[in-house]
Amino acid sequence: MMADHGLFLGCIAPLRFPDIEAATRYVFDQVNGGVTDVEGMGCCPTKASFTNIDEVTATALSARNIALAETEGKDLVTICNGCFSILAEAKHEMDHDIDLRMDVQQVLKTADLRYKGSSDVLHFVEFLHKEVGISRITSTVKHSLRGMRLAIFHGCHYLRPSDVLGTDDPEDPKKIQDIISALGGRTVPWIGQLECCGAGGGLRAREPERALTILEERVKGIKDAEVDAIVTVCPFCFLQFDMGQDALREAGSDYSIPVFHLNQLIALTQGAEASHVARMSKTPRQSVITSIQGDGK
Amino acid sequence: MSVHPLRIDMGSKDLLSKMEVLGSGNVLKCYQCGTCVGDCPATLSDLHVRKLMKYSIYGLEDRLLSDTGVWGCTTCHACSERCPEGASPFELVMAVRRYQSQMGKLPEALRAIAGNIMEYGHAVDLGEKHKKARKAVGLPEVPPTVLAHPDMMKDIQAIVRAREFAKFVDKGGGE
Repeated sequence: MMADHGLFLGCIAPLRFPDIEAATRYVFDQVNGGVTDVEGMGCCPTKASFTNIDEVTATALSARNIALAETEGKDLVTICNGCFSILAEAKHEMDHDIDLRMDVQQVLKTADLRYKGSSDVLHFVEFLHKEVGISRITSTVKHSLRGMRLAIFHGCHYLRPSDVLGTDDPEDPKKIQDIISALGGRTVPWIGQLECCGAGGGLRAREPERALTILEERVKGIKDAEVDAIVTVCPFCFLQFDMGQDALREAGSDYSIPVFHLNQLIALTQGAEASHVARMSKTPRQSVITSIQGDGK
Repeated sequence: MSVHPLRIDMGSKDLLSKMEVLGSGNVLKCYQCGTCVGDCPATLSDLHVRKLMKYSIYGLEDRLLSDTGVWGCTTCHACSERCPEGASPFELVMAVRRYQSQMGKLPEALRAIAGNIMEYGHAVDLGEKHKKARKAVGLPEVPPTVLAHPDMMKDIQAIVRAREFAKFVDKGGGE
């Protein structure tokens, strides 16, 4: 068992893609990661909400989540790029900007909370790569991804702002690739791989057509690379690639590249039930699941 | 050929400090190289980050604060990440968004997301079909978040209500 970590679920995984939550719990259990729930968490809050109105309100809602983890003495592990960067940036601001910190503490008083700064915020890729370690992941793999060609989609808020997040090399990231190698898979470079999926900042909510135009550029780049599947490390990027390809198909295109959250892929290689950990998608992915786990016969 | 230089004396002298209060960072670091534009996924739309930096530097308040292209930003952060001068075009975009929101111009789609957080504690709701989907993958119908602790919802509401800007989150608070 490792040091105490608290799982930060966010919104999209538990409420729209619970199979990603189920996969995450399965993976953390398999590697004996010592990740438990912190009760009562809310939205991080997304950059499509309060930060567009008032920085103090947005930071206070982040600080509330972090303060709840602090009372249990846990570092937070996030499974979404948005949750990760928003909580990590809020922590950074709270730890570096005394004026903001004092304003936020004043607001937190209304909820009888106080931010101390004693808990860290981690992206689950960092957690798996550094705290769990590649060798322990390798030891849990039952079905190798041998022969599989995969396109990694890092997503903006896994990488940027790199001076605050420090997750990975922002122009040549390697950690997700390391994990996929540990599963026996091969990652393929593609044009546009460090760029945006188009969903963030409220764009998908406000102007879905425009968000889709940005997505199509990414999907074209991936299609040219001739891969078996796309791997994201964020439920919102997952949503954009999975449902976005469906929307593009409805508009007459033939894009149909299976999409997985990294934890879904790891759980499948560990032998988890696909009906629990990879149940929900608009873009079919049974062929990939079968080639990982066999047809069960 | 006649030349029409930009007249700096037309500009607002307090625009920089106004934007800094809203979180813009120091825009004067910008030397207009345009790296931010090349990196921006929203450049094909009506968002033009270099131009916004220029408006700020020259104090062109009306042009900056009325620019609706800022809502095309996906918050990808590439502009600030790759700025060779360490300026923060992304933070300026957010500062302009905040200014417009505080003038009652928060787009309805974004107001609705903030409204969801006030109501459910989350950006999206948990309906019956979502509970069923959770059950189908072997999870409890309600996640152990604030949704399982209705008494903690009042904390989230109190935090938002503690500031004078809460009114913009209520229905009709945007446009």
